[in-house]
Amino acid sequence: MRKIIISAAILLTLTLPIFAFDGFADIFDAPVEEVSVSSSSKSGFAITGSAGFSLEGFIDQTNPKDSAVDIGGGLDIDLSWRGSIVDAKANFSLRPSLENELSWIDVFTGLSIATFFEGGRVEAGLLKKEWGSGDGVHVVDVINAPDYRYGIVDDPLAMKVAEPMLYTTIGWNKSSFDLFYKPMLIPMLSEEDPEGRWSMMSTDALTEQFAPLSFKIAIGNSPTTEELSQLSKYQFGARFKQTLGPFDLGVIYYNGYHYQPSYYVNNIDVDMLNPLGPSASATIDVDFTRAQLFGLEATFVTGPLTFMVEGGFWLSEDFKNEKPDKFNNRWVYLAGMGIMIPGTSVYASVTYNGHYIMDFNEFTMGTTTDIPVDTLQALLSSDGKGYLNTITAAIEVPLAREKVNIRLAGTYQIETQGFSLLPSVKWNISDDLVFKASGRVLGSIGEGSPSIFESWKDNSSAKLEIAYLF
Amino acid sequence: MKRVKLLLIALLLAVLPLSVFAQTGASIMEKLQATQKADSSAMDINLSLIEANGEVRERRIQTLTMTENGLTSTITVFLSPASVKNTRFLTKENRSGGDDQWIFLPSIGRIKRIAASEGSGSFMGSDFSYSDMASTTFDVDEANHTLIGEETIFNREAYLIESIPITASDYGKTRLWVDKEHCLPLQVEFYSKDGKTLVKTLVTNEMKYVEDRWITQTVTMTTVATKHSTRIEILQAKYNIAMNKGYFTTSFLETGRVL
Repeated sequence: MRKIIISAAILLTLTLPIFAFDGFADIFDAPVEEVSVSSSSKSGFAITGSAGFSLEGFIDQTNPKDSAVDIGGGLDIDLSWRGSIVDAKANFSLRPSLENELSWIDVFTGLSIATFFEGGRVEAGLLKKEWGSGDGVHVVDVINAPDYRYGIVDDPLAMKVAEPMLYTTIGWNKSSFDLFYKPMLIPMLSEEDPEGRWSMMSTDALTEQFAPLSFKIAIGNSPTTEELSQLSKYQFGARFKQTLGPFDLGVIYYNGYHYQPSYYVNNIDVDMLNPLGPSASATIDVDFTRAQLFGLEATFVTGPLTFMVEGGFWLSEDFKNEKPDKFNNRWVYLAGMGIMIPGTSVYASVTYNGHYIMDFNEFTMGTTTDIPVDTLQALLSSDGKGYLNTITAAIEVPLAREKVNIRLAGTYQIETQGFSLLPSVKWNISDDLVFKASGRVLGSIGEGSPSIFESWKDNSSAKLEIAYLF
Repeated sequence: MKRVKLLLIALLLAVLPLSVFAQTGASIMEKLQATQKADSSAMDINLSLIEANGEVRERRIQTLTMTENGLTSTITVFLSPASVKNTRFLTKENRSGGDDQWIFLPSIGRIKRIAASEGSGSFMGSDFSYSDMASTTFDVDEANHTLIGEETIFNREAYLIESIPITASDYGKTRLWVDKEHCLPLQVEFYSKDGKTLVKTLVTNEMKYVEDRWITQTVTMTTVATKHSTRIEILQAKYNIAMNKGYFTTSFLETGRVL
């Protein structure tokens, strides 16, 4: 199957006429060298993309012998067709892996058709969209589920799953209105193998909470893919945006699901008389929580500074806090600032974001026969607390007239002391050949509490890649 | 005898250049601005980044400008190379005299509002700053313009004007040679904030008559310290044409389309 997809894509690439971008074709006369393609019509195909190769070395701090090298790279192709009132786009990513079979979600990173009308457009297909004012970090970006199967990368769009949806935008004066509908639920993607490199569900972290008990967990109810595809799992959302002087303001409403599954630990049975030592067993049920988000986003620009604010309230289907297997209501918030350093092209930003869970019950050993989903999530990701605050900072330094680009992004979770550092140096050897050296440093300061950064501390890596753009 | 004197004075007035009596730095700058003024303009531009060793990188951009009710809007699209293709940039002048700016980057797939006041940053890695791209000379009311004299430069007669900005600017001083015949800049020297060190030099390589006006078709900006230079060649220019207002919207910025 993989061979067929690759062959088809290559054949398609070879047979399609390459269409020069027409720019403002209604204003400018066709340049002599482009008469053959751009003077006939504004419609046509365009092909862009990149072909690349990479080597990524993972440094296992715990067991240095487990350090490994991944060979990566492949072909990314963006095909687009432009008609008088219709656009069609197909984004393919052909990145063969020695470990995993290619799935449609990996191959089709975008597939859509859009039709335009005066003042707006309607798009349908596998889309990636971004809501929120933050610099790559958001708390109201509800449209696409995140993809953590390959850890954290310094590209927010690459960490989104292209989802089937209908999306429409209408604009007038300084206002716009967006509306989307998703017919099915695609949850957050994560490494399925609990022992896998990027596994997020660390059973070790959970069993540590019950030490010195020997703790066995069985998987109970879990929704099937078919159940998640039912039309009853619909989601929709709307956003109204308005520009008022130096402000861009947006109001958001979303009716759907929390994209992260809720893990409900129940039927906890403690056996203190076990001859092999004290032990416990439990069942984990997996489900999703229906919820509504009432959100705001704002950008304010003054001088070289850009201020960004996002906030929202998640109203859960369990708004009375009666269902331990559903997430509670919660507040989410974000404040950020970006600055273009005067006299340079250096851009730096810092963002503070977090959430606060309402009616949160802290975990107490031995007093309950279950662990509510919020409590379990807190045990695994926020040091057992009903809130989590994160600071993210990034700086980008173009050098040598933008031939070289140095970037450093870092994240620090205050409650867990988990952190990530993502440094990179990109060198545009020529306009179509790019070399990039990047790294991922993951871990915790000091002992650290359970968090994905702590879980992934043996996944720090260094990567070299080269890509040809076309 | 009295009639002879009057005749001599009349002859003198006729043969002497008007500038000796009437032209001032400010009046020449006014004329320069008037020469370049248009309610709308469209330019198809080739930008060549030239290293000191002669290596050249090309960029192609198109830019539309429209002034309505005294407020100017500009949309710039990047056509090549592949690494920046389809990047779009919208600037709208607001009533308070500042600019609102948005950028669309294909790599992030959405538009983003950005700070507009930082004009001194390099435009696409070129020797032009964003401010230079808007104008390479100070407006009449932005600086004190002094007519230093007249010189022949590049075999053309020119006025030499020194401009010192009234309020702090990216440059402490500019020296501008204005072509007498077509009232276009032939050369501009940009000095550091203290007005003492030459930072950059702009030279007009070619002038052309386009749509009832003369324009500087090819100019080259050179940074003195690095010897890096940037050549801008206007492939096409159109002035005072009807334009779809939809180009100057965030909707066009995001989709590259107007209906």
